[in-house]
Amino acid sequence: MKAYDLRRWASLTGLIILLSACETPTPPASEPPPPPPKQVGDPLVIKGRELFFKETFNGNGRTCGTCHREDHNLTIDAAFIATLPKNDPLFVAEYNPALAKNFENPKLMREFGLILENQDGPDTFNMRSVLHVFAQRVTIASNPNNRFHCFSDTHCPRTGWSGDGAPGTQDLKAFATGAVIQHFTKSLNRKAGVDFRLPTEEELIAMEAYQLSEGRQEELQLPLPLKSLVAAKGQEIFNSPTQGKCSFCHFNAGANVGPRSPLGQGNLNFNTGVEDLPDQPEDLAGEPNNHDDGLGTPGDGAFNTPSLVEAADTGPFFHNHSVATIEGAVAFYNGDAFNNSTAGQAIRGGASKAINLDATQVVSVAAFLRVINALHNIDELDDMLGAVARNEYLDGEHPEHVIKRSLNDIDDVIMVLAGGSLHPDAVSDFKETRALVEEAVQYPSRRIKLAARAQKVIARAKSRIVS
Amino acid sequence: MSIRSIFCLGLLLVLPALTYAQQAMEMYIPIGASIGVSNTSTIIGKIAEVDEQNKTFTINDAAGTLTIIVPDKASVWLDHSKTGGANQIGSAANLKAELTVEVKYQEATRGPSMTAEWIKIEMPR
Repeated sequence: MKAYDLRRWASLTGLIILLSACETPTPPASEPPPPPPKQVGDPLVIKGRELFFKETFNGNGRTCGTCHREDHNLTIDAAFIATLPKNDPLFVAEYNPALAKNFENPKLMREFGLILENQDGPDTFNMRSVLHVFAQRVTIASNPNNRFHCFSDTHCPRTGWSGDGAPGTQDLKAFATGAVIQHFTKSLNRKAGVDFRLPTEEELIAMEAYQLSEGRQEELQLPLPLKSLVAAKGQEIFNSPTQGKCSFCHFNAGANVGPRSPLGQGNLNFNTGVEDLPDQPEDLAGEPNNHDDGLGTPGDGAFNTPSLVEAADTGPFFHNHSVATIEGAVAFYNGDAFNNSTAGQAIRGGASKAINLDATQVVSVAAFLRVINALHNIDELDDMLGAVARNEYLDGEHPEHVIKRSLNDIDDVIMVLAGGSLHPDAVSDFKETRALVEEAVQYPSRRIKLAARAQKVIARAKSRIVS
Repeated sequence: MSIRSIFCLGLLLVLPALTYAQQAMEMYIPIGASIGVSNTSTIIGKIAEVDEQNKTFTINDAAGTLTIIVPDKASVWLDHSKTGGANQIGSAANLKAELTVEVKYQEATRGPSMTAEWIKIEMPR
């Protein structure tokens, strides 16, 4: 063998030795699995979560989680629906002949992610999007003095898109009863004890506790020290009483009016003219459009104010998914539909239009909404990864499942920030987080350590977004 | 914000406050089974007498006889739990003596005369 060949052979051998010394993604066979996770948390919330995602109430196979997907921000949209198998209970109207007519509209469900609701009685219906159930602790309470109907002097939630979604006591607890009758039935007779069973009071209390535990437990405190110049400008416009005027109805980017507001207190309803937009989903699809009249029977055209913190990754927007993007949703308030509406006219003052933002301002406000949504996702991720790092159940959810589910929130935050060309440095951090979490999913024995590392990376990402 | 804006915004709130919430799914809940409402904000009993002209009826329950006022906007539902059929939307014309009803009243507390918000009528076999 020539000296040259010997040198090459030695180099190759050395390289192989070096490579074999590197960390491989496959853990040694002897690496022990994590110990059994610790069961922590409020037993009532754990029970409520179990009911929410698993209980069919002897109905058509649907659960609350059929529409409020835990792996999709507790809601659904057309893109997500397209990923579901044909036999998913969401599509029960497509395979159960008893529900083939007037239970759902499969075309509008698949094209626009809309669900059929008989909110004004059995003989009429409207198509509505699915609200997520985040942050209900701080987003659905209205002032008892402004209540349209309430069984309590202090506790008057507004539920559903028109704020009147619950029968009985008309609160969040009763909402589940109405949902079971509306969406879980085996036939349009909706016969309790035959087509479904009614939830018990204990079940309603547990499901309410679970729902109230989801998402933010307190309001943001604006203004935030945001590092993105565009998002910071958007925040300024959002809070301006002469430009965006957004905070009139979305104080602190939530679902409530501000303290001492002339509007009243808490979470309120407004007619903002969404139903007057051209090209409604039903019209585009050539399906019946019954004109959704909102609160009451007959309705007054008012819809309930949703929170904006959770908005950017839960689109499309409004009660009928009529606007697909967050920029489009902001731009809606520039248009005739809003400016001619009762709400638009009420805040017009002496100006010719209530709201008149230019393109850069629309994008800035949307950037602000994107960034606060990213911060919301970071908080959710911190909870999830923290539970995994401590090897704890999260409201009854095994860490193995929690770590998988965290991938959805990571993807959301990447989508939300990258979609607005915001914080590329933080986006890189989230991609790094994703790689760590994927490895944790693949190798359970490393799950605890990798979750702790991922938590540190998202803390770094957060520090790039807000001071 | 101008005084006019404040007035208009206030008006926005008053309008919804005067309306009633939809209770579409309430009609499918059998008599006595509305959690938090039945026997708390309702009276369940047999109709003693119907006064169609004055749009009232009297009802006997464990606490005595009550007069129920039936406003035009009150919902009336036919509860077919005993017949096995589907519950239906009814009307004041379905109110007959001897039928068992559940009346959700509007008043905060019970008095000798109550105003119905909704009425469920138990349809006999």
